[in-house]
Amino acid sequence: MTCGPGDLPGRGEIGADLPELLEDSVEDLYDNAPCGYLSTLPDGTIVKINATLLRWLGRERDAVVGRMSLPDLLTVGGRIYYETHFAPLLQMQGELGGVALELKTAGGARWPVLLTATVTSDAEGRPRLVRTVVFDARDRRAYEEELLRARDEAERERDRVQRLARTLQQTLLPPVLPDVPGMQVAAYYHPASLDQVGGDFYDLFPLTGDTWGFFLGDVSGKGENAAVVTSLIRYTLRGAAVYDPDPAGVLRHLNTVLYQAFEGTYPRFCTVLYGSIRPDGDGAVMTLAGGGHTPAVVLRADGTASLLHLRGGQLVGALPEARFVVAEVRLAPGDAILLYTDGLTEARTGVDSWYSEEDLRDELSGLAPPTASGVIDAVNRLLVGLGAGVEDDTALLALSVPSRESGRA
Amino acid sequence: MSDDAFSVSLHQVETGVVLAVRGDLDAYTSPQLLEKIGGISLVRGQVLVVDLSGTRFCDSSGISAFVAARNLAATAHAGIVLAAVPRQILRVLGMVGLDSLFTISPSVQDALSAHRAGSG
Repeated sequence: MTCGPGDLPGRGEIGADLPELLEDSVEDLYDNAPCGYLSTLPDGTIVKINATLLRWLGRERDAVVGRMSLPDLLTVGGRIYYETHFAPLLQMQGELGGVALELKTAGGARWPVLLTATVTSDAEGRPRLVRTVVFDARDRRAYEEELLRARDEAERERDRVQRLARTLQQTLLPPVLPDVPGMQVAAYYHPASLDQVGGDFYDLFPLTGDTWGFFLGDVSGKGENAAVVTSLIRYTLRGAAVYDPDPAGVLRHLNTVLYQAFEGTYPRFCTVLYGSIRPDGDGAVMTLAGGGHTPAVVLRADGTASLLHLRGGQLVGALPEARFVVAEVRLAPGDAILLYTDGLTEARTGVDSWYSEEDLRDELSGLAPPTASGVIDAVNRLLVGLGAGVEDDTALLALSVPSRESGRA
Repeated sequence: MSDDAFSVSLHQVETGVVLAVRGDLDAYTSPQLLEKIGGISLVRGQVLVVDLSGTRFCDSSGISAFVAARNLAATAHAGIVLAAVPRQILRVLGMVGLDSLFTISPSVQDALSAHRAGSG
């Protein structure tokens, strides 16, 4: 003979006792089943309920049958759900399964359950009775709460990481740009990711007399490793700038430090523009050294824009003897210069097209007269427009000489 | 967005190694290329050909992988050729001043036959 998996005794024990086991009557099975049974009239009035469910509810049969309806057994939220969803859907479909609700016990406690219901109809097809099976869902609810707790925990952790990344980023950038006499300066940093420290950096600081030093660059890679390199670059440049008045000399110094620091390990280098600027009559003269960086945009008072190419300058830290190229630019009243990192000019504008330096130059021509803050605002609008195309961090630094009109005002 | 399409494969050839890159080279994909480069062994007189025909884009972190490849080849006294370099990458190489560091070849076949002619 065979027996189903539901038979409790092992195969060998079944035999003569079987008829006795089958005395497990239908009534007993109904009353003491491991789930609740409930029969209600179409209006919800309870006409039959098993002992299991009564035990869960902590109520007596007489107090329930004919006196209460299914919604009376639910919490307030459950009652609303019953009226707005459960009952109408059941009426429409004739059956409903796996609805999660909460019972309210006589003691006032909540008891999470899953309800499955079917409608039986009379000969004319009119609904006669609703049979509902009630499953205990306390374990499932505990599991769901555990999942929610884990999710909250993960979200808190992510917030913490983002805060840490932001704080670390701030230590790599000047908190506010200093006031430079006779100049307007503005900067902006656009992080591509909230939880990764980017590899972009810039700074502006006083040198001897009325000369100011500044730099802007981009480290290969991202994350905590890039942050270590960025920190080293920033302090090396500021240190070298103090005693070496030649911008190319400052970059050579940085090259030596970076090359020696990371030689033989994961190669780390940066592209950078380093310069100094000093007042010159009614304008300013800027000396700019390039180490493989994207060309600065020079914006003239009349609205024309051009790229300041420093061709031949090599990236910093990759080669023992790198070559750097220097140019001098005079900024007249109303002129401005923009330094930027390649997050902007490598923004994707199509499957096979990227925003280029020339696009940026063309976009910025026509600002007359260009001011440092006006240029940063214009690029900001551009970044918003490029949106998700900007996959890398972007740093911007702009300097301008006030126009004669605004200078007089 | 480009990450899942990225792959690097190595082929040993008689005169050296061909490293084929497929997909964009950026801060997220370049470490995979660097790792592959770390596993390449070259002997004196061989050539490392980096096949870029399956690539369209490279940023400064991709350049770091090229420099690593170049350093590896230099240490082994082997040559290095970038083959089928797309315009955008040529432009970036020029921008960072490294175009003079590499031999540029129109295709892998050209690179390998030029190397044979040069060493033979």
